[in-house]
Amino acid sequence: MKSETVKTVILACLIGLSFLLTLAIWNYQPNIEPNDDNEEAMEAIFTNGEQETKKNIVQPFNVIYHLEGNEHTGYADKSKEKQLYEQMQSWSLYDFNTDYSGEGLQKYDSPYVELIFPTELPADIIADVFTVDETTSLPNSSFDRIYVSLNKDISERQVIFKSAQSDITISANIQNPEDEINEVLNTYNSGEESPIDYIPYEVNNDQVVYLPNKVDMKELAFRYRIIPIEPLKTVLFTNPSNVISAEEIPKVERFTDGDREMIYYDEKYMEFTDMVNSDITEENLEGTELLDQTLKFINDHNGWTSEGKYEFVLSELNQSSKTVQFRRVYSGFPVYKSNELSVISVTWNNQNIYKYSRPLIQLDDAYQVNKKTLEDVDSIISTLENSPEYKSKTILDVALGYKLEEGEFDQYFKLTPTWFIKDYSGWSEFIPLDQKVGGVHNAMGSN
Amino acid sequence: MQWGQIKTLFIICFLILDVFLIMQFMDSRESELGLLPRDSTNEEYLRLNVNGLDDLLDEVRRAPLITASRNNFSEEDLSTLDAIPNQEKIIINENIIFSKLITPVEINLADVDKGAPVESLQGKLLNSGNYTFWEKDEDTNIVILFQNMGLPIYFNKNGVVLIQLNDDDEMVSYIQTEMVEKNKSEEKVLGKAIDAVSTLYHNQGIIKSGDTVLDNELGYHNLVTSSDGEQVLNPTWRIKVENGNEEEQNYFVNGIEGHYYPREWNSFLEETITEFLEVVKLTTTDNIELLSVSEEEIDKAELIDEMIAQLTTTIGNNGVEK
Repeated sequence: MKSETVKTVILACLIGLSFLLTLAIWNYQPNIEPNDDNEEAMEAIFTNGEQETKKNIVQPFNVIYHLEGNEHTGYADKSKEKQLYEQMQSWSLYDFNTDYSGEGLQKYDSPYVELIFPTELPADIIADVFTVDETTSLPNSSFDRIYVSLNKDISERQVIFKSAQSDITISANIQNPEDEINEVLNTYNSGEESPIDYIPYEVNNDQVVYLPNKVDMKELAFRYRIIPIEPLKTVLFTNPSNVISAEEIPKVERFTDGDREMIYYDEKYMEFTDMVNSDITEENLEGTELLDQTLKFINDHNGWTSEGKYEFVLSELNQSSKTVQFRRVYSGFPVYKSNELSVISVTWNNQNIYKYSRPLIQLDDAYQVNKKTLEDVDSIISTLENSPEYKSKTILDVALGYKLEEGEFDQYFKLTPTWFIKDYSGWSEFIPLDQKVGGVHNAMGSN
Repeated sequence: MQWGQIKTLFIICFLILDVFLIMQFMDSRESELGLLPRDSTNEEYLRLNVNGLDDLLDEVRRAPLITASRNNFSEEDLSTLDAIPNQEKIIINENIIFSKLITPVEINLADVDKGAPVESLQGKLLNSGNYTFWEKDEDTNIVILFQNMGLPIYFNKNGVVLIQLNDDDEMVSYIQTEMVEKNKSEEKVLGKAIDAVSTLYHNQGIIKSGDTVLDNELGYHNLVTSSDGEQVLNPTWRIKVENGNEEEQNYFVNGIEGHYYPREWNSFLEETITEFLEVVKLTTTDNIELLSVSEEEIDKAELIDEMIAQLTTTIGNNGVEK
């Protein structure tokens, strides 16, 4: 009888203990710096941002129709260019051929359409951006122009990918060429506005650029929103709770955890540098890998803060400096100034972000529209040929784009249509012959 | 009787269950301690290939991050400084002390270890206890001391003493900067010294097979300093390695995140003196304060020129550029 009582007590104790232990295991939370928990959980994405695909981020800046009789025209409405490009992306391309000689596959007889991209793209990107059979092997070359023949009699090699820099050309056939080319022609003819004329102009290295003549562009004003910088603290610093900030000079704030720094300018844009990652290594990254990991990095924090008519488009893919840049484009026209407000730039090193800079303002819809009279192409060409300033420079490109600048009293931003000239130092505003060189530059510089 | 047997059965069952639960509980406890699970095969491999790993500090260390800024010397500091005999002192921008000894004084470095304060400097240097010996640069005859906030602060221009010795190893002049702590984070669990060695061996390829780790020490280091001198000091492992050619070199690895600091340490002395030289060049006479200067009426501008000349010779002194 007595032993039964002892057994009851032991059993009760064991049951009790198992209860306690179960509860203890359930409720047990490893105490890994509980103070940090709130901050770690901080959103690491832009709430107003979105993600982008490679198909959409790789876009031509210009689409030009070369018609018979040496006529070069294009859409007055740039959104049509995008429509055409999207059409082309759905074509099935097959039977790729590479020509290394630089002869043979140069160009077509007109009519043909030319797509001009702002940067050299690796050839294997074709498989990502266009519809291509998976087994296709693409050469290890690059291209920045695509030519599509509009001659329905050509039975093969209707599409050519070519680089302005090298002699390598890649050609491909289109499935159902007749239907597809008809569609292109339909798109071309369906425009209500009359097409724009492009005037060819030869720049450095026998390159021909096409300047749009008599384009009707407007000056626009935008209200804007500030994109909060907080998420970037979580994205870019391993331990956001260790980050201190200090006002460097008025309106410029510096965030640092000792080894990395992020400088925040006037709540408009930021520059991040990881000093730990500053030793240059000789790793070799393929162009597509570079683009892929950059896209992933920006997508991961919903970094595409474009809306409505403006968007970011791949504008530079530099394998040697491991830098990828995306430029703001408004209604098909790139914003060439200022870079701080219009370019997202990512530089890699050792598979990690070394530098990241980007604008942190989001433009709302345009609320004010003024007419802007632009210099016509003839006067641009004559200035380039006669002005002492441009004669001595190596001109790489000439383009019509926008200048983005802050309006008075911090209230709005202004997009002004402007001609731009590209030389080895990058894009700069075109200066008409009759204006005194120094004055204009300085006045602009203060922005 | 039957009820008694069932009870026995239950006791056995619960006993087994409880043992199991206790084991579970212990497991979850331990997983907290091993915050950074290490790859044991990696470590074994490391031990086979790198010598001297048995002397590494093995305990788990904790240290806070420190936010520090330049010390703008207070009235109190200045009066202490003023009381130091046999020195003419110039303070620039309230935060750099240049001092010249009227008669050179011998300092005893013979039995000072790396990382230890220099006893013989007591009374000859403001807050001498806050600085620990780093090394003597043989080429320039300059002794480098690092400021110490519980742990030494490696290679920081804002917390350093550079002592110029003459040919008889006597102190003839020195330059001093100091940082003050503004804020301290809570203590962080750091990676062990062996993790730092592992980073250098596996990830960076800096330590090669057959090399010997000579020394390891915890200190502070950082790369970014804002223009007002504020900075975040990160706990950092110093790993001293002797390579196959019998060359010794210090490497630095962040203690919290485990990244290696790629930096050219040999140029620290030159860079620092160049920077001080820039400061002296840019300063105005208003930003200069003189203490215990013997001549009554001294021309500050002349003094600046003299200092510039002196610093320039130090830099130009063939030796600095290694």
